Amino acid sequence: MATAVEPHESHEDGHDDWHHQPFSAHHFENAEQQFDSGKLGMWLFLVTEILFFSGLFCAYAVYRSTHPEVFIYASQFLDKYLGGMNTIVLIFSSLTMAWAVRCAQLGQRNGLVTLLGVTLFCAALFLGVKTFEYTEKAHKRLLWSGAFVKATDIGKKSQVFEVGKPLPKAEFEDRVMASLETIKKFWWFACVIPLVLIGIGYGSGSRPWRTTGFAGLISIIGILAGIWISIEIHHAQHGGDHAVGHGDSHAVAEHEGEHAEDGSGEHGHDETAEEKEAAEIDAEALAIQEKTGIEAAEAPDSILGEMNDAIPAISTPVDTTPDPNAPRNANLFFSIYYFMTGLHAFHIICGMIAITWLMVRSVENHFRPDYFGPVDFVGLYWHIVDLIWIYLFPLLYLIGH
Amino acid sequence: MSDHHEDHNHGFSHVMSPGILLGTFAVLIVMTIVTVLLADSELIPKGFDVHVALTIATIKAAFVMLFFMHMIYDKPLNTIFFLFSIVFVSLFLGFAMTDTEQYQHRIDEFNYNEVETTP
Repeated sequence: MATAVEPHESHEDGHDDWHHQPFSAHHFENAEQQFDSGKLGMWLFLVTEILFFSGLFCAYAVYRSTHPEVFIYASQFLDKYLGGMNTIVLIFSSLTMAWAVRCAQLGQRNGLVTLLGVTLFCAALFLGVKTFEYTEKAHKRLLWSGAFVKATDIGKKSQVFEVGKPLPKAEFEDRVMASLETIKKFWWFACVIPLVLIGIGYGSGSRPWRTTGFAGLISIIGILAGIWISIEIHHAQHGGDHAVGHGDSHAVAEHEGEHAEDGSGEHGHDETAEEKEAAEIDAEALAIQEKTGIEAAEAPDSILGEMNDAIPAISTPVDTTPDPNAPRNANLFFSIYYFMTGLHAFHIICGMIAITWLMVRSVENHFRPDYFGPVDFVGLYWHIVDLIWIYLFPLLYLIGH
Repeated sequence: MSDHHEDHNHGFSHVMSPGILLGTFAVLIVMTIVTVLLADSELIPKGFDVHVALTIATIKAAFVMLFFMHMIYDKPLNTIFFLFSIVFVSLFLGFAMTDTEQYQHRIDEFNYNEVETTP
């Protein structure tokens, strides 16, 4: 190619300098050749990634063209504010990653480590928001086709995607929160795994171990922050409804409580505490029942209503009645949603592992202006992940509003 | 650049200036907000929202590719590889889409018959 340098000069000059540097592969002529080869390899990998995701985009295109009503109906269950926030978070992480590459090229080690940390934090924030979205949808029974196979069909076990096993009788909000608490524990566990592995490899207390621990800490803080922020955004949007619901139930409970007191008042004030308590519990139950009725009547949450009889034990108040407006095969959309965003989230996790690796290496001062390939290549990968989300966001979250 | 003794070795990759990086970021954020706003608005005729959303997404993708991924200063070989992948993706999607509607009426017939026969 035209970019090849004159072999004589570069060989004579570059050989001694460059070949005795760490991380210089001996079979390359010079630093530029090593970098270009790595970059070409990375681009080949990215091409396979594009082709690989195109299969899913093809599935999306085919089903959207044959079932447009399903996509219009089901996308209303996705929160475009959470999706939009995630888009901005990913674009920002792309910026910090691109800047990290710049720092690596200029040999600015502190800037490189800081920007990698910011990128990692944004990736974790993205995962946290995704955690909330998945958990909330799982509790609304918004899952992929076949997630609610009839219990009689498969070994008497209902095929419910159980998240964290909350109390069956808990209210919807509480159930989501209980599940989130359980999932947080899994995230803690996941963030400790690399620390253990690096500890085995390098010894605990070593500098790579401490860097990994720091990266894991950034990750878990990001994930927890993402979950917290999305809960806040969710409450900001739906808080009004919930408050009204709670208010009603309390009002009814108090009302019933008064009745109970009035009734017993004629016998004098000799009723036992137990009786009072029992009356209150009854009133509470009644209130919850009424509230349940209201919610079931007006909540369009259960697009899977016809399959709900398969899960009597865990059926929630929210989705006991089918939505009459739901089109056929509405959870087709969620099959595609979970597959595409799930695969994307898997890429995010892989990217986080790669960025942690870069952090360890940059703290060890491995990168220098003539050896920054790994930073650049992980950066390319990270931008492709961002790119795929740029397409996923409007295709899934912004349909037919 | 630094005064390192191997100066001739590290001119091989273009360093993006902070201005370009921040400018690209600003463009991407603005376009994201525009997409969200346009999805809500009545300005777009029915059925065209997908085309508008995908056009904006493609412009955003082009910005990420050209500036964040350094494609504008990259070796042409990498760009050619990428463009070929796009060609094959469009072949794949194009052929799949031409065939999609082929049997749809039979599926519809089957579905509607089934709905009618089952009470």
